[in-house]
Amino acid sequence: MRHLVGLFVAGLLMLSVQVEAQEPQNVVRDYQNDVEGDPDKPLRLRLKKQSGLEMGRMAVVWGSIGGSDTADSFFLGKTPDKTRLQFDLTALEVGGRVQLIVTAKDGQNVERHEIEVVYGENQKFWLRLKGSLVAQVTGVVPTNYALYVWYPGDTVDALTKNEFEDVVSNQGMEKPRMLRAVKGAGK
Amino acid sequence: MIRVRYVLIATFLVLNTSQTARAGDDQFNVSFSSMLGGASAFAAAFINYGALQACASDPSCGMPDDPGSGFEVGAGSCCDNNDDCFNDFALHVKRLDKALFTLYKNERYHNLVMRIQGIRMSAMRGAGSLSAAGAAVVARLEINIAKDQKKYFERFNVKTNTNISLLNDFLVELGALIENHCAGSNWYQRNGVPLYMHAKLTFPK
Repeated sequence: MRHLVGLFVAGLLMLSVQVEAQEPQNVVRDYQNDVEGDPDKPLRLRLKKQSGLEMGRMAVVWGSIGGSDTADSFFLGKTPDKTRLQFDLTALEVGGRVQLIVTAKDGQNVERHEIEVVYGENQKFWLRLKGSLVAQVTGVVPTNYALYVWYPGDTVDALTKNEFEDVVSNQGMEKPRMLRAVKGAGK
Repeated sequence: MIRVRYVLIATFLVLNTSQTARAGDDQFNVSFSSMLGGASAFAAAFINYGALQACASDPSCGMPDDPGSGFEVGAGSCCDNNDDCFNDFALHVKRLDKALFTLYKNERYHNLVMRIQGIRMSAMRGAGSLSAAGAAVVARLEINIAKDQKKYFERFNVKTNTNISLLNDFLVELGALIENHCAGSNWYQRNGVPLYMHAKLTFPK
């Protein structure tokens, strides 16, 4: 009996560890055509903290699109200032083609951005947006897609355009050294 | 006993089933890991770029064209010719580099926070100027922002002074180490004090 309980506890621990390591904490699963496609009736997508994410907040959509489900719409909130967000889109099925349309409505101004990915392709792109933000995913051939929206925080918003481009182009750059040992007097 | 066994087995099966029901998630986990990896690389680039910029905008930091190096610090001729001494020295300098990097990184973060406050303040003033009632609200908000800012400065200075003290402890320790190898070299007075003074004059607000 003790062995059985021990085995049970060990199995339970293994399962919980596996789940924590693999799954994001803030995910909207739309495998069965649950989300409205009408951009005027979007589902609220809240950006939240995520373990493993060093900066800011994110939201995750794991969904299916195509066939009878022609679109999924998500409301990301309203931003009072220009806000930098990263959109990361992947199409997961053979033959699939997924489009993402992001609109930012600020009073009379409407800004629209469109991106498309095909099977196996992943695209990350940054947008600097202000106002009421809606993301709409569309597709014709049935396919699964993954959409990640990441807001790294207002310190990134405060970067100028040039500074931001420098950061993006220097991805993976090594830590600069402030001090180093040399022989002689140094300088 | 048998009932307990059944309950345990049933619970285990239910848990397993719930995992199986989410089997569709597996194909998404790859893209999730990739997204997190990209975000992590961006965060590292952002922090490094920040420290680099803070140092580059500070003339006394002496950042040369090569971003891979900053201050160069020597141990002195006595230590240069002694491998044990120079290796110990280089090891300690790495720790000093880390401490200085932290100070410059925090400095950059501070500058960005102040930049955000400036943008918000101007946006708020712009909105407040539209009406008398708006101006009164803005005036109240400005007082609150000023109070928050004061608290932020206090917290920043406490943290910064703690980090500078730590840097100085490292410098004193390194001075003592070099003194062991090369008595009378006064490394701390010649190299440590200027670095400490640089930090003390540059970072606290």
